[in-house]
Amino acid sequence: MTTPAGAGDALPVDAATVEAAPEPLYVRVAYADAEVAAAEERLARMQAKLDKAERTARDGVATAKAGLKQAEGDLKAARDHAAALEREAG
Amino acid sequence: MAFGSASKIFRNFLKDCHDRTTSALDLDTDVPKIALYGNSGTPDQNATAVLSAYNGAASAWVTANEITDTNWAAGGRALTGITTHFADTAGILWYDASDTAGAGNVTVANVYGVLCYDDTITTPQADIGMSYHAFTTQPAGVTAGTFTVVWDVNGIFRYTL
Repeated sequence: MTTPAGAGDALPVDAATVEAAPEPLYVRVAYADAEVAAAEERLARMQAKLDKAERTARDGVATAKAGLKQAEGDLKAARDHAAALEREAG
Repeated sequence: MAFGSASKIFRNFLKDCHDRTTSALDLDTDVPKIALYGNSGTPDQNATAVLSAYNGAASAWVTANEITDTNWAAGGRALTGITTHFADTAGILWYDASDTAGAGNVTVANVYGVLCYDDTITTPQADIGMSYHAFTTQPAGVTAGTFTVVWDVNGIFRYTL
């Protein structure tokens, strides 16, 4: 038996700063455009989350129903086997 | 009480990923946020869900400890360009995003690090913490200038398996 080795953790960050950066109109436009792009990305991710949640719910119900049916079949087979042995034992 | 120099994934977050206590957790679609913090709170990687959450009661991440600006408002800035890198390098999995900048020029002082939390999650614990990250140079600050959280070249967090 081997012991798996591995590591994982958060990594440190840097803060990049520019003091008193000029903010003329074209810079403010760039900031505003970046905000729009970020908002569009958030919207796309939330739509994807909704789609996935609906798909996951459907898959979950189907999986649970199949598992329930299998468990019911297993229980019936176990009971039948036990009953058969009890009859055999008299 | 101090932010310290460590950067850590919350253990509770990894537990959530495994057992789905927070069943809606999905890093493929959720939008985490990055909030700035000073040196008042003491991060704890072993914190419970509430104590790892943004503005969790009695946590290191209460808004009293947060540093904000008009262009880096309370609650923080949303991550963009989020990617879980799986196929890139064998034996390694990492979570990354674009560097996180303010919405315009920012004035902040004595920033020691950031909290990365899942802003999409509302229940059973809203805004659960994912990880916290110390700045390599503390404290950081800027006056009426640009302030950008530059993620490590190896990502926000990374697993070598």
